[in-house]
Amino acid sequence: MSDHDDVDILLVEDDPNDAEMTIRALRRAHLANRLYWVRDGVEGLDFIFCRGSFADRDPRDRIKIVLLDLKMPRLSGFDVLQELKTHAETQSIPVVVMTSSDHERDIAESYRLGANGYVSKPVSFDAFSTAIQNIGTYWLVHNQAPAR
Amino acid sequence: MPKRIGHDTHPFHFAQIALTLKPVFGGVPRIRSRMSRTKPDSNAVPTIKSDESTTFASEHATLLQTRLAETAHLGRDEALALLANSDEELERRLAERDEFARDEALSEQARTSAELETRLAARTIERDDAARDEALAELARTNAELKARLAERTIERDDIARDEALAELARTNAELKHRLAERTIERDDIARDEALAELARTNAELKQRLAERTIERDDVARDDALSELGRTNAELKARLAERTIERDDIARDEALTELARTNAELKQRLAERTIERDDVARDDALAELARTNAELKARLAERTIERDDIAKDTAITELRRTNAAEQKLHLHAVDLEAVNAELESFSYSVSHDLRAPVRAILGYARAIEEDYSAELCDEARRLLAVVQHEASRMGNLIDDLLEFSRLGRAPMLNTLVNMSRLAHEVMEEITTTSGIRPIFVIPELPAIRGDRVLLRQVWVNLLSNALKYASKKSEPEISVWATAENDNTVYHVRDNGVGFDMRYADKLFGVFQRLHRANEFPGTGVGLAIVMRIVTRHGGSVRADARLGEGATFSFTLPTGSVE
Repeated sequence: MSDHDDVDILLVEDDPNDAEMTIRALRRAHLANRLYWVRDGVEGLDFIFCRGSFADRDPRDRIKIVLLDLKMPRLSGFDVLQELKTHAETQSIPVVVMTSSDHERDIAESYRLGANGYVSKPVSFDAFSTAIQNIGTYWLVHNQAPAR
Repeated sequence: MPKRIGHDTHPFHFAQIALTLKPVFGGVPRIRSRMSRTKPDSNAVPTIKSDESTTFASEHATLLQTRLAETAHLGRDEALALLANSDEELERRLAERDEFARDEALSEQARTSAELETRLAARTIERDDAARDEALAELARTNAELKARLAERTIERDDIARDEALAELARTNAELKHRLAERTIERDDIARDEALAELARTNAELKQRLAERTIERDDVARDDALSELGRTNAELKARLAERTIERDDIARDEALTELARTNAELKQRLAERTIERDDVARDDALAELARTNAELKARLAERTIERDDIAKDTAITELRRTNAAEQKLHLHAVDLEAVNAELESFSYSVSHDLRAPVRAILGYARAIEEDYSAELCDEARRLLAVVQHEASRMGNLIDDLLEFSRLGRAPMLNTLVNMSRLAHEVMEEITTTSGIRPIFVIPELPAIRGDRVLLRQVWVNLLSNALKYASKKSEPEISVWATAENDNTVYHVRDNGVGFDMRYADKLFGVFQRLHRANEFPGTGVGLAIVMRIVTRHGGSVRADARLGEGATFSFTLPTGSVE
């Protein structure tokens, strides 16, 4: 069993600092045990569709939440969102956009493409930490996903 | 006394008279031979009529001879009576003959007319109107000819008959006179005178009646001829009139053509003559005119060019000015758009790129604090706290700056905003957050038209400031009220806080401008700038009134009627 099996949280984030802070916040809430972090959109889609370096991943392993950054090299967060939401087998996977931008244009576009939530990362670590833990708790604990 | 001849006279006496008179009437055998010569032609009507009259006359003469002979033995009175009887009979028979001849002529005419009409009818069926007209003309001619011939023949016959009768009469008279003269010797004057008188009477009467009949016949013929002539004249006149009209039309057209030709010719000649005669004068005049025209044209052209040049220059200048202005305006617009785009880009970069490192600093500082706090000395922990504080302040500055930018550009809605409720909501929110409960005095505020979200931000910033600067008072107090000012509604927020020096009031609404040190009163210096920006967008204004240590009053004015 590799590290990307039985993943609950897929973190798509190019900024290692933000990724580390996110993982740190989730770990402190004991929500980061089954988290996998990819550095950009290409890796994200490979992971989701079980291809490329993730070809051996079992597509039956259900991702409970995708935490998606928008501004990334290669494929952006919007590209990942569109691809994921236009395929029947992946469109029910919840996606929460987590980004530094609070730009109205980005918010609107994200929801148009089918995002399930949008969170602007707070500068304050306390606020940031609280937001991340709330998201993790909600999607991993409270939310109920459809049966496969 | 002479014995008169009566009805009872014996025929025997007439024979005696004829024998006695034989030597006297020598003309009788001539008459008889003429009569026998014409007899074979008795069927030819015109000839026989005349000859019949002659024959009749000769027979009458014979009868007279016979009776004279018979009455030779009678007295003068008796002879005269006999003569009178003979004249009456002559007259009667003449009338009968003329009637007969005329009737025959008329009958012939009728037959001829009928025949011609029949032929005409037959020919009419086969021929056109022209042929019928010819037939009618022929008929008319024939009729006229027949009438003329009839008249002539009647006249001729009458003349011959009359002449012969007269001649016979003259002869008879002469003979009777002669015999009377002879017998006068034997008879008395009375008998001769009576015979002569009777003869004269008879002659006069005959002459009178002949003349009357001639006149009558001539009248009929003349009337017919005149009638025919009248008809012919009328017809000729009608045809003449028709042809005259035709001819007149043609003549008129020709005359008009001729007139036009003549006119044209005259004009031509006139023109030629005018050209010839007036050549010099006209050439001079034309040359003068041409010179004048050329001169005028040249001057006009010059002046037009001048004027056009001036107008054109003016127009070009104006156009250039306008173009330049438009160009300038366009450039300004482009500049503005570029600046706007740049600002957008800048905002995006700031929000995304500047916040990330600040967040990282704060995050890692927190990680040190959490994971290694026990290993740090107090000074290390103080320095770490400063890092965290300044990083946090930087984050706030960035967030406020983005907020200021966002509120300045956000689209505005225009709704009726309940300012009392808005102020209460905001006050409740900020006192809850800060934990400070000031005395809050707020009467009912008039509603205003504007963007609720933006106006809420105004209340947030002003009430937050008031609470912040009054928070150090033992009994912080915040008052809110509104006044009317011309067409505006002025909302006031007063606190009993530290106030400020009015000398620096102009710096109050600038971005990042602060009148207090951050360690006295936290803040980024963006709050009032945001207030001013929102109020300005609503068409209003802001002002502040304060005294150091005696609190401050911030007022913002909004148009009562509408916004933007």
